[in-house]
Amino acid sequence: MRSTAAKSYLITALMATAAALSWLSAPDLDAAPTGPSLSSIVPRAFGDWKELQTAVPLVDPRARETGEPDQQNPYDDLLMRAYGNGRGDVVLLALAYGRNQRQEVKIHRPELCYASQGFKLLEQTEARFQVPAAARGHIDGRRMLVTTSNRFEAVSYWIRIGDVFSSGAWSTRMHILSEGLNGRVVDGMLVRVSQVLPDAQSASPQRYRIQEQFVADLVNAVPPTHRYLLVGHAT
Amino acid sequence: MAATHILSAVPQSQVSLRAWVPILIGLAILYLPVYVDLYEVFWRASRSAHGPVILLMVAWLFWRERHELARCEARGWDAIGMLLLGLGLIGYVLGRSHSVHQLAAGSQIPVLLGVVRLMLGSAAARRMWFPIALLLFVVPIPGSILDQLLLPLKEWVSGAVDATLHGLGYPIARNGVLLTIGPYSLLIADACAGLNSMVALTGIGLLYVYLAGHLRRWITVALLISVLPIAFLANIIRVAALVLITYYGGEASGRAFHDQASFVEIALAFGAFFALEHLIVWIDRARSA
Repeated sequence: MRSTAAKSYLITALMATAAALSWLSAPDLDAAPTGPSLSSIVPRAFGDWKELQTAVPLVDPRARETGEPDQQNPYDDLLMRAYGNGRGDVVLLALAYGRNQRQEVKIHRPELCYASQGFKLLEQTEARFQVPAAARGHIDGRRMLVTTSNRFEAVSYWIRIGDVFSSGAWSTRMHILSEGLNGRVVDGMLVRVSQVLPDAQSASPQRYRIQEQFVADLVNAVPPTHRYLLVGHAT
Repeated sequence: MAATHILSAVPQSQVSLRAWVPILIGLAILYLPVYVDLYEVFWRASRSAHGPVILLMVAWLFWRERHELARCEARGWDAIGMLLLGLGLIGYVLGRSHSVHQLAAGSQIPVLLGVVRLMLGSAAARRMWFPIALLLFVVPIPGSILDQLLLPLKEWVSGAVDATLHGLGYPIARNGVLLTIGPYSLLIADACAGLNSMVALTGIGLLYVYLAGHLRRWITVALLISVLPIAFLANIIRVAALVLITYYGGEASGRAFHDQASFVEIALAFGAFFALEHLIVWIDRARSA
């Protein structure tokens, strides 16, 4: 009898220790610095590009379910704009920023947010975007072609989680966890550029080159002190 | 109240209930915050009642065995029990501190197994393997895996609903996961064709098979095989009902139904298992007669 009681107290003590440890070792989520707003660092005109007041509907990177984007909204800041250049090209830009990336509260991959809004994914490929203003001169991301009943869209995007360009869910997860174990909270940014096309054939390499040029110009136009938001720090 | 009941019912109890009080407090300190998080992050968003239902059933399965368990006592310090408890608590600390909800929720299984082995012995742990394993169905599926599995599932569910209602002569059309019926468009969102609910319904099916406790192995096997199809069917019926209610009653009634749908689904699945079990038993009797 007495040994059983002692055992139960010891087990409880272990449990309480675990509960206390989990409290103490949690990174302070509010410690992540609040940066300037995206709209204040992304110019409305740069290079050959100028913001357009268009009625082209952008696919909201937040919404996964109709009717309740707020509960599911993992972003602290969001910027959605359309830009046009002198040759008549129109590019849609979506930037989504989250200050602290965690297991279930993190950047949604565009292939999923398009799909959950009724788009069909026709093709997607890994891509390396040439961005001279980035620390490494290039950034790894993806291209994809999506369609819904009367609309094709060619999309280029990358996701930055901390200083890593996320290619898969597992590596992203391990990066967030290992940074967390070192007491660091990582931030995350989705940079998405797309063009609405009349048909699938229009998704030519030139299209994607326009998008690539656009992001390169965009990064270059952001003040150097805030560029890391889009392209990460040099490592 | 519950405590005095056990004490009076089982006076010969070896491990006094008093020894369990600190452990229950410890479990509450560990896991109540986990459940608050699960509710906030997963259950509320998907409007799913399945997680809590499974949890209640696990609690009930333990309660059901209380007299048997009260007769068990473990002597000394069981090494496997210590190992399980230790690993479980390490997983708990990692999971809690870094918001890996799956790790935090999953740690319940080794922690409980460890506690049962340490306090009541390995025979009791073997006896309670099923209720403890059932907690697996409370562990949420990570978003990344969920999304990958969900897309084809949503396609199948909306395809099946489209084919069925079209066959019945309704003005329905489908474009990917977007269903259009009459003037209404319904997007089969994640929660609707919820894989979460598929998983939870599978758990409920396994529980049904466990409780039915058939001695004939083929009946158990037949019921086990039917678990996934029934969960899938319950999902299709739910979405079809949602589409029809919207068609006849407008969007407001559709939304009202949507919010209660997980209970309907659980009831449907239980009804289907019940019907199937009786059918199988009837076939078995007819065969042997």
